[in-house]
Amino acid sequence: MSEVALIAVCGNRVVTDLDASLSGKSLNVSVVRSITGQDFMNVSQLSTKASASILCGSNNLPDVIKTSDWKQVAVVRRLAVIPMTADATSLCVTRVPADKVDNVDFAILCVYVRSRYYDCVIKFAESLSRFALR
Amino acid sequence: MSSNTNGDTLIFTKAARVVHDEVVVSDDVAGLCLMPLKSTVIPTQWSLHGVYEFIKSLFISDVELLALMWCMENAITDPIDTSKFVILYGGSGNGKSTVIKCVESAL
Repeated sequence: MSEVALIAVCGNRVVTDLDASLSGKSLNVSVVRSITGQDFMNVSQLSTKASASILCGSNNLPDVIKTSDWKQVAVVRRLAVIPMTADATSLCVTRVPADKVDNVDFAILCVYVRSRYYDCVIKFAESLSRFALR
Repeated sequence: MSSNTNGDTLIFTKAARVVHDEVVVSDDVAGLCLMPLKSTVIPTQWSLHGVYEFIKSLFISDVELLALMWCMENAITDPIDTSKFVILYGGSGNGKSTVIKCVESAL
């Protein structure tokens, strides 16, 4: 991994990618495993822990036939595949809300969801990813 | 409070009940109470507008949105214990980039 990517992974809590290319062998599974596993990484002579969750959008899923590492339990446990099939072009409201109060509301709601649904939601997402990667 | 004074004697009369639930309290006591004796309705729902309502329309069901929010909570609170690799999967024009931009702006 490059120095810039290491700094991004170790210095942020969320790393986003709008259009990730996951087909073929373009994404190294061991990198995903080390980031989500919070392994120690060497960034400019310092050893620090990766703390970022990765949120990416993709038109295709990893090819599990060519790269069977995606089927490992350790990887699937850290993976959440969320299908998007809604027609976004038919939305009546196309402007993303940018009100600060709305943003704080959403952040607080995320905390509420985590405390309310402690484990069941993410288990569903993992089972969904198992199904998608089958 | 409904009460009448008749000379030196304080006489309580029937009063309308303040608390309408199963609590067995005499009407006289209920008429004297300033605070409810028992709370029966707890607000559990509130109206959410803005980012949540906007994103909600892009998901098939609430479960997918809850899974995304569950993962994103990791970026808000300490300690960070479960990092996730979240893939929004779908064809073009399904709102993946829109959702990611919304989450970015909200966090």
